[in-house]
Amino acid sequence: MISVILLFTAVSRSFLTLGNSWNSANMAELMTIVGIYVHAFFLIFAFAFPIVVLALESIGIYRKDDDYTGLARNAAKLWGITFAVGAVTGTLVEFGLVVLWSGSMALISSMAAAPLMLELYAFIIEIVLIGTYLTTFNRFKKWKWGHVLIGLGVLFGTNLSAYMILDVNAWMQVPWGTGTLVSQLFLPWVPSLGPSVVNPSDLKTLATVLPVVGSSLLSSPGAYQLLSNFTTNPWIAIFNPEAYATYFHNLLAALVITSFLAASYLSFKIIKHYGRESYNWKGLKVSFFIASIASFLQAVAGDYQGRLLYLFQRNIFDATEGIPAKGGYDPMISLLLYGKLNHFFPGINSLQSMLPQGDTLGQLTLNATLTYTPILHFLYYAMVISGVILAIISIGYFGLYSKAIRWIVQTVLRMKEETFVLYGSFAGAAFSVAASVSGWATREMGRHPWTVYGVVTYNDVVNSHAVTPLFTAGMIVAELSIFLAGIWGIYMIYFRKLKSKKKRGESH
Amino acid sequence: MRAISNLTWGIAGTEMTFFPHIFFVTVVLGLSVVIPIFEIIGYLRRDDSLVKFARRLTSYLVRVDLFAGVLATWLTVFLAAYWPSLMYIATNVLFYPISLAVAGIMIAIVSTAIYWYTWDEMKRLTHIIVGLFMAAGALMVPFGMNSILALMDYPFGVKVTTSIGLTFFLSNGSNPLANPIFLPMALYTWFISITLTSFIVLTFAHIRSRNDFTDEFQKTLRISRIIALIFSSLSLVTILWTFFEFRDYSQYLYLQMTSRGYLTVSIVLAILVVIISILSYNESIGHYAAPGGATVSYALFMFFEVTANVSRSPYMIVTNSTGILASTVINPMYTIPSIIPLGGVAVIALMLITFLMTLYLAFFVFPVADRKRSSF
Repeated sequence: MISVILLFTAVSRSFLTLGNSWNSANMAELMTIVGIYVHAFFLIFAFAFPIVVLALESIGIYRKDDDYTGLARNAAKLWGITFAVGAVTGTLVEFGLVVLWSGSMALISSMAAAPLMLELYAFIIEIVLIGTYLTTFNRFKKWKWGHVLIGLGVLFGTNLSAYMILDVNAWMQVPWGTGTLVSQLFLPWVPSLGPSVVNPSDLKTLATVLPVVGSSLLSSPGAYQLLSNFTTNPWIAIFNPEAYATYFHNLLAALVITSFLAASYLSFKIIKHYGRESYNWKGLKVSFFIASIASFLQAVAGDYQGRLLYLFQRNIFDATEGIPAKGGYDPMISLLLYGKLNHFFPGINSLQSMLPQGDTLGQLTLNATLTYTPILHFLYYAMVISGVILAIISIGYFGLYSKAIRWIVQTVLRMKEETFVLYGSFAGAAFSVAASVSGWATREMGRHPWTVYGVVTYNDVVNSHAVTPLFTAGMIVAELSIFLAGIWGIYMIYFRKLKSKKKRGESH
Repeated sequence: MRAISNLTWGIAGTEMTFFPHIFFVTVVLGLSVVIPIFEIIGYLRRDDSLVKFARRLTSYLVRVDLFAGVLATWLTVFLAAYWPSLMYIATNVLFYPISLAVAGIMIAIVSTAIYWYTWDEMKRLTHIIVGLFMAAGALMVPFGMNSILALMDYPFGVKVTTSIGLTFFLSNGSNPLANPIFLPMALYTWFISITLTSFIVLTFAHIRSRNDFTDEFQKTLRISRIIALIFSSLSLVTILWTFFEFRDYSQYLYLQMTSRGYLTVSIVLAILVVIISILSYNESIGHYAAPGGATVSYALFMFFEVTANVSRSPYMIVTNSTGILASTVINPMYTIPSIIPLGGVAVIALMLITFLMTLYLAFFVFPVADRKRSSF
């Protein structure tokens, strides 16, 4: 007991010491990281899992097979729970955005306003229709496809909502519609970012006054008057090429994770002999098939995303690919980008040479990039390697249908194809989560020190009210409690009752 | 199409979201408090019918909670998009009260989920404790959020400074919960919400008790009446207290409310709610008193909210006999395209109808208890 208390005291002191050395932006960032990941875990189900549910339901209706309908109904419960927790955590993340990063109000009230308002409309569509979908499951005896149509309505709402949120995040990466302003202001290596629809003097005022005054600038109604007519095209963020890439990349990532998780749950049931084996195999095949197709498509989406990184955020590209500061060769990347093996990549030093005298934020950017390079490189390749492994697992799945692939699986791994599919689903789930977590971390960490790349930094938008370590700790505990409650809810529905059902001899 | 100013859209959009939102959160708040009361009484009296009724109400709470949550998100985004400087001032001056509300949302959601999913899965006493957390979390939310309205009526804790030719409104370090207007407003919100919900529950129990003579509905009538009477009386006291504080600290608002007769109407409605809660004890008119009480308490709730907001006009934040004009704090950064608010009206109307149809299906066509029997 004493040792536990001593350990607790030591850990608390360490955290307090660390906390005291951090500023409000560091505290806010920690809370945001935890909040975003908790939110992301649940929202990916709402985002992509409907595809699995609707596929199962459609097959059930088309083949008149109640097993598929039963699987869809069971999966819909997970969809409902995760949607509810995702919606709730989304509300909290949004509160966190406006309370902790209250300087982002300038973004919400300008470039992000139209997407975020459209997101609200999508959100209400999905939340109402998912209620209708779950309430009316198996109720339509004559209009079964009508129920699928309601599900497609939810899917539409979910994806519209996701697109609108992701395009705001994409605008923070690539502030599309600012023309050459970013390169003129701080980051000379950035190319023209689309048509110039932002008032140049307004953007310069915002970008130069915020670092001096801090986010408290926005407490002045007069400051907004200085920024009047900030943009002539509030829709521009929606048409950002980075948004297209981000949306497809994230959709496919969510689909890979959720369908592999569904497959691994069914594999678990088969291995443990819970329920009827043929029933579980039907669900396993469908979800693994969807995961496999999504894994292949993800390679294309990831490649496109990488090309945009190279084009618009060269410093981050150099860090993730591990290009030495003085420049170097990377045959694989060279082949992908230029179709030849020997292209020379100049590195951070060449970007440094482009900085004009007195560009402290440009210098700060490159310093941050150099600081984060080892971890960015590691995370980026953790994502890439996980993606490659997922593609291999996905190919292996088709051994169920191809004699050649089946032979390769059996020869290389010395196991039956069915065994490979059962255990491959667990590996798929693990690697897809690893890829997703490291991919998002790379994206967000790479943007340091910017909130909006080349325009506004983290320190500029954090609330001018002090964010204390105790407050931070309390909020993180609350965020983790929500995560655990959501996991516990899933456990209660999907695992706890398995044993009792088995005892009762129920097949599903 | 004729250009409509950001100010008009800002007011229309915010109000359009605010009023449905507060209706649903009122029901959520009220149910979160009323449900544990039924369960506690059921536990103390060893009466399963009350516990069963509490469970039934929880299934409704879960459904309404999500819809209310969506509208909360709407409101936050609308406020930030239309009134960014007001929003910044609120998040800075009211950093801790708003964080308290956020913490309340977290506690309420987690405990509501646990409360719902663990019914009959854990010891009754433990389950009641979870229910108390649910009630506490739900009460914390309007408690924190009312600080925004109190700030708009009386900007307590605000430091006004001038620098680089601009006027800034930031926290002066005072505790914003010490705003004299805040406490009566927050308490009033609690009490009227619980009153409204108890009348809705009473109406529901009356309707079901016509055909269902089990204890579940017969016994709940009496408890709902007691809750309605206690909380309607408290609502009357706190609305009077609120008006006294308006008179002392927010003269402009008080004068507007008295000169236009809003204050009188509000007090008359509050008294009427108390009278109806007494009349609901009468067996012969109780059937009419319950929906009547729900209607009048909702009318009181909305009337006070609408008139307290309208009376601040043309100011967004009132400072004694003057204030900060709404036109000063409206977002000037771009012209809001008409399609956005118009699209919002269409979507919210359509989805509200769909939501109500779904509730009808869930409660009357496929009620939880009959799920395995009924189908189209």
